[in-house]
Amino acid sequence: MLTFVSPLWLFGILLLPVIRWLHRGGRHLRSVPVSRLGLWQRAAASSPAAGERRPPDPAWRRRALLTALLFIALAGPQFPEQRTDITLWVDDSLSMLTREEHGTRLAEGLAQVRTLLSEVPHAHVDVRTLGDPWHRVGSLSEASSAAIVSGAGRKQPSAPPAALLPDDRMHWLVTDGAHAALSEWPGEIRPDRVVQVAGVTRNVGLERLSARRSLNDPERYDVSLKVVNGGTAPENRVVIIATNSGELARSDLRLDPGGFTLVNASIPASAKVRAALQPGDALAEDDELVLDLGLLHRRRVATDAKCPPALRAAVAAHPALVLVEQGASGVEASLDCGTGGAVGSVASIRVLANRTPSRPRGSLQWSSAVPESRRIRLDSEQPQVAARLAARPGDVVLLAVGDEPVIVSRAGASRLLETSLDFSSEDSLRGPEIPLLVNLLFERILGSPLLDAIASVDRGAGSANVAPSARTGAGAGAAATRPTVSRFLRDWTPPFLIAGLLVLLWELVALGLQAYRSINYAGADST
Amino acid sequence: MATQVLIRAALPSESELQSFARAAAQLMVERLPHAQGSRTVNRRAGVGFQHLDHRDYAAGDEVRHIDWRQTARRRRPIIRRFESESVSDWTLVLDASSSMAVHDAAKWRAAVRMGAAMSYALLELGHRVGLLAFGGHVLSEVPRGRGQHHYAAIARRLVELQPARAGERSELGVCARHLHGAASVFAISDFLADDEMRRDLSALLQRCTALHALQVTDSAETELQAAGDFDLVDVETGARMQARTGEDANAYASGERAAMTGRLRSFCARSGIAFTDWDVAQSWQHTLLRHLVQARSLC
Repeated sequence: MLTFVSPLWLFGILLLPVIRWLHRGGRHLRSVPVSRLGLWQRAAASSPAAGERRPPDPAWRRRALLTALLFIALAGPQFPEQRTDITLWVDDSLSMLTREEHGTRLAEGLAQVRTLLSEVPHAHVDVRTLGDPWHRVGSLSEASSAAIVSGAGRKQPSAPPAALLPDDRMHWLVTDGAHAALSEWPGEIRPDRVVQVAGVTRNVGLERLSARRSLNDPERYDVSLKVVNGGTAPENRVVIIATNSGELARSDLRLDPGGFTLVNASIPASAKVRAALQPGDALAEDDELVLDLGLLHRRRVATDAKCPPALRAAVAAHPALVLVEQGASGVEASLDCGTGGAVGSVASIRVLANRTPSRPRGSLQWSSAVPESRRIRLDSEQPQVAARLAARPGDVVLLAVGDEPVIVSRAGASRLLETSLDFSSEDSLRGPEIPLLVNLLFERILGSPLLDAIASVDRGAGSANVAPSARTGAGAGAAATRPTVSRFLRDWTPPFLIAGLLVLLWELVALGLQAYRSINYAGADST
Repeated sequence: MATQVLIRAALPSESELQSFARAAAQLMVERLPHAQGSRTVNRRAGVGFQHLDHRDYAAGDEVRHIDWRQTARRRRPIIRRFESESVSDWTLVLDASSSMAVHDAAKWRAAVRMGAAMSYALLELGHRVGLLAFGGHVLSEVPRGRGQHHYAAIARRLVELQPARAGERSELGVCARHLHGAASVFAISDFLADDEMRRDLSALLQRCTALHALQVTDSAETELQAAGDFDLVDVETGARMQARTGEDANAYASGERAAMTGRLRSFCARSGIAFTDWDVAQSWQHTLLRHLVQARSLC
């Protein structure tokens, strides 16, 4: 039944009789000037005295229609329609890429949903994924299905938020049931329909691969690999660890259902490390892991030959730095002690020593830009300086003695640190202070931690699970009390507005033609 | 809306005027049209009044012309009337109402040409000629004068005059109080009024020695080209009437116009007014000469 948002506007239709009354005098005729009206008395079109009543101007119908359409549009007409609003939640976890009989679980699940939706009249489907629930994928189509499949396994899925579970919609879930947490929806809400696709129950996967620089040999990396049996049967696998130079390690594993094993190995420094399982299984996507080791490589530092021996020794001893002479290739940082040979584009540390060493008065003050845990406790409260530094606008004073800066981070396009600390003084700096200071300065200009860097790739706990958990099945078919068909009011204001605009256009054209004819007649009459 | 266009009437050329004046002189010198009982005049200079008869005093009459003896006898103001002299006074009365401006002011242009020609011919004969243009009131007045320089003044005024396209009524009677002394009046108008201006003509007749009425008509004003329903607007009163035009309507209008002309002609014949109906499609020279001939026979 037709309803209106603001029915009071419908009273405007009462103006229609007024419009007709306003047009009672007949249509607007062209005016023709005559020298005397009395000559044309016998040609009068109507004679009120004779009781002849002329019909109103036919244009009143057009104008009345326009008025009626506008008032109806203002009243906001709405026609009720029945449709079923469904939010389709798609589990896009990695296990949904497991190959079943006719394809991946995801593809099979979406195909089943299409079949089910074809049986639901007036279904209006809104697709969302558990990996990114706030992003509305749109309706269920071939394109949206392909987008979901291509993005599966990249984000950690979670149960849908309560704000996206309104009561006036039905909620369907496509999942394999391998992750029980995805079925634990907020409150007492349960999916109205669960499309579960999980035929395969055996899988072994690589869950995490990490590497760090070896403490004993900076030219080697310690690698740790976590292998998980996500299936329901014991499995035997061979783990192969390789780099670009070839296979480095191989290990035979036997894994119980739900169990895992950590595989450790020491590999020479390399750009990447790859771990793989053999033989493969239904979920091939978790049978291989590749880790980029670029974070762990040693940085080449062009060191000035004039630098104090203690400083050069600290650079040489640093596990993440490689001391090279000035002019070497592949340099990522430079240490300049007065020769001025630093390359302008690379990060540089400039050690200034142009005056007699002295001890400035005052206490050591670290900048708030240096975290508390990174600050170095110097044995000497008054370190010796060999130059005078001045901070310019934009510079950051990292360390000062009294009011005299001793380590300054210069503002500018290239990263540059200047220090006036006297590294040649055995009295002022001794023990581990110089290596720690060197580490602090290079971490600052290189922008990354150097001593405790760890590279890792982690698929998350349970990523290898493919067998449905016991709790998942309980939610299927629940929430039978939720309405299956919702009543939807479609706004019909735009059609009325468009119709009104068309009538208005008609009126304008009619008025234009009338004006055109009048002008033409007046022109012909004047000639 | 039609663009407002200035109505500029073209006057006859000097040669046309001279040619017409020579032809008209034969008719006017031998026997000028005048009131009944006047005598024949000849063409000579000078002034003088010959007593003709008496009539009631009217506002504007010369006080010195009051016949005190007759006034005392009849117990009301009586003035003497004088016979037209060989050299007399003329006043051209020209209708400048809005009805003269319809249909591209064809009637107005024709009236201006005829007025110019008539004033030229009279001035050539040595008469004093004045001009009155009227609408709802006297729109313009040129006092009587003599000589060719006076024609220039009248011609200039005729060219300057423009009838309003709408709203200017025809009130010929307003000219009566502007007629001073004994003068002949030559009225040029379309006489489109409720009574064909017969009452106004009667008032003028009381104030002049001779009255000529020349009705200007235009066949276009009773022949609307377009057929259909129209809103007819009276250019003088602004009154509107919806009419269905066509051949029948044109025929009705032509008949009505002819009836008006007939009534006016009968009235003029009874009142001794020389009357001519002139369609602007006809030559103004022939029309004027025919009018003068008819005026001679009338007198």
